[in-house]
Amino acid sequence: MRLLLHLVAKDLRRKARAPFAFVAALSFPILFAGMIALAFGGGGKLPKVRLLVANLDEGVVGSAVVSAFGSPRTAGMFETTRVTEAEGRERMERGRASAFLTIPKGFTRDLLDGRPVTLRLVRNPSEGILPEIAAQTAGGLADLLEGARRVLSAPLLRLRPYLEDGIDSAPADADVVAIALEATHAIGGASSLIFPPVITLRSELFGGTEPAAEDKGGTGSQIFLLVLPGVAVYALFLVAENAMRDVLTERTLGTLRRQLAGPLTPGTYIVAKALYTCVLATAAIAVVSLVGWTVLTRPVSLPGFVLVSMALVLAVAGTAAAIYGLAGSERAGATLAGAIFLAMGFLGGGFFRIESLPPGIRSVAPFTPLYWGTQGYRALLEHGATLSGVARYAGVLIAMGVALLGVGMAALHRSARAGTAA
Amino acid sequence: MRRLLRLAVNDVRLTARDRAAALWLLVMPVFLIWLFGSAFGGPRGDRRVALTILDRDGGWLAAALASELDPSAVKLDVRRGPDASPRPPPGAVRWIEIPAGFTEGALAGTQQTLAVEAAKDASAEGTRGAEVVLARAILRTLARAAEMKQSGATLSAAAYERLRARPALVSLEVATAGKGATVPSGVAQSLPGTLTFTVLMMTTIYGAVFLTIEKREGMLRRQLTLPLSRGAIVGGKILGRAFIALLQIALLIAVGKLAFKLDFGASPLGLATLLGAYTFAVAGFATLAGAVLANPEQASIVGWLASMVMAALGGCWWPSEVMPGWLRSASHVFPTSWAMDGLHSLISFGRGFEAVVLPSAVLVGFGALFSLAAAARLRA
Repeated sequence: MRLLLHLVAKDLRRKARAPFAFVAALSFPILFAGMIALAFGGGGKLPKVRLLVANLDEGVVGSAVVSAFGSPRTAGMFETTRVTEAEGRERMERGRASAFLTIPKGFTRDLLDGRPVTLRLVRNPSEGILPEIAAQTAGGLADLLEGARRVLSAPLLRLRPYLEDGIDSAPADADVVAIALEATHAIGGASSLIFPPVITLRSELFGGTEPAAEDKGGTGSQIFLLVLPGVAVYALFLVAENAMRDVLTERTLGTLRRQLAGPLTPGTYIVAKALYTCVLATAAIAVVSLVGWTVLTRPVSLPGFVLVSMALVLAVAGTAAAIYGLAGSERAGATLAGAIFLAMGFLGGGFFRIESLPPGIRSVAPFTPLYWGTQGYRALLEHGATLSGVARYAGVLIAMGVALLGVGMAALHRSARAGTAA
Repeated sequence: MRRLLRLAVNDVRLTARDRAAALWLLVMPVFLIWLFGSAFGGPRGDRRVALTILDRDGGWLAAALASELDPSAVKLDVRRGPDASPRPPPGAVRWIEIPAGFTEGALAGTQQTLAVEAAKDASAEGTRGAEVVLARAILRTLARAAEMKQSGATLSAAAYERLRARPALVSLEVATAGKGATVPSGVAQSLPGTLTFTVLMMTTIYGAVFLTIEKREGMLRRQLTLPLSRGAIVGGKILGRAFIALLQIALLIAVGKLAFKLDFGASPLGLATLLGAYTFAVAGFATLAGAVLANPEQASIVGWLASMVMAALGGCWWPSEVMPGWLRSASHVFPTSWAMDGLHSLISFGRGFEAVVLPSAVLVGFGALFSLAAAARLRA
């Protein structure tokens, strides 16, 4: 036991003398989560849609469409710029806006006359989300105009002559009364359906519900905490890989043979390396957790956190041991580890939240220890899970860890003995 | 020049001898293209959101509402009768329940409130998308029902269908800037970013790790005893890395063209110039990292870290439009942003060679800067 501790202490001292790789691996999740918080932070809102509008219509409906993008409901979403048609086309070709809306000439007149009218929207092909918001909003406006035109057909026809270009006389009192009566009649017939709308949608987007607790504020720190678990678990695999790689590096450099020439068995050496890997992984969790704790806004079950962390330490040490045990050389091990970790990172929800992945990939995720580690931490951070709530995640991690560590240590033991013979 | 080429060929030969390199350089990027493509809607780029209607009403207004949901935006599954009963509905990602008595109640003026519910693992973006589509369907349904009521017509499915069958009075025509091709999605959307990311990552990690191994094993010291200038050795290393990166790029483009039928724009010359310049920048960066870092562990971890940061901020992982304006501008300190700008000009906008002159020039500048720094810092 003393020898074991002595070996672990020696490796830790060595790591402390050259901590670059360890520090870099640890800085990765913090930097990455910080970067995403920076990119998607800003109160959790998307940047405004840069919308160019060319209003070629000179009537009231065209102006109303333009105003709709600056209304209190939409002003927070759009940054609207009035342009000529040529300017709009030129700016779109240079990718200077998300979308370009053209309201055609005679839009008001044609609409009032019952002739089909078309709003034209040009999307920026290098953007995905913002032009879609512009398209959906413009589509909603088109639906609204169509509905209003059809329901208010009679009063609009009566109003039509006064909206003609060049006519600046106001309607006579009698006409105003007639138009108002027509409108009242038109709306009155359907008022039970539309005032207020008899079918409503309850959603955060359209009102009627409070934002979910975790979405309130949507600040950068909350985004940081949403991203951190996945990338931190990924970084833990890198730390473990770095530690376990020592076995093959020492074999290549001949230091393993020298160590085994003393009163040290390959078995003790391998157990010491596994222990060293576990200590490093635990230290890594402690450091990342400390950073996470500084931005934490609600309590997290400490026993649950410790359980998931310890199970994860076992799983990452086991995974690294299995990879280096089965690899023929240091270089092959490093390549294999990199490929496996990267695949796990993407498939297991390390870099993208598992819900955003397609069902096929989601079904593969549970075969990776990274998935169980990430989900365990997410349960603690996002759903307030307790010790019993994370027992399932920890159980799977422990089972995976024990199995992989068994395979890995047996293979590394063989490898270490081969190193002595070499 | 011959010596430079010989050094480069030697570098390629050493890489080719490493069987694991094939996995990294060739198999992994294809896997990532597939993975990113799947996350963005699969090879065909189907971005519709899944939505199940549980029609427990069975009335004509409920059917009318379902028919108003835009089929180009939602993958609709309407369940009626006993199929509409289980809750949550088996296999459904997100769903709307239309309660019994919906049609009768709504026509009598009784408020009906609908909500999109989602399974625990449904994406929040998809659910918001479904809400937008549903809101528009409600608007259309109410407008037609109001029109029927106002005109005194009998409220029925047939009357509703007659109104719906009329040509639209107000429509929205959506086109795409550039050559007007459809907005790339799925693999087409992810390929430029994945290509930029994987070439950077693989070249940096492999280039830097190999160079540090050469330093550790004394191979570089032996090379420096040859009648070659330090600049020539660095040039040879950069050329070797560039060969490998170009091979990787050629493979990814071939896979994109043959397996996914992707369009890489109308300017092969522009594409070659841009990717050639990017290769130079990336190979220079890999050599600089190998020159500066002490051992393979450092090289590997820095390679990971640098490529992930540059890829994410450069717009390879997500559309850069979602980043604040200042960050979008700041991200141009990385070669990835310039490469993505050029690729979008060629592939998304369908522009010609002139669109990649500036990005290519900047990338060559990056490459020259990294190469000079690598030559200055390379020590055996």
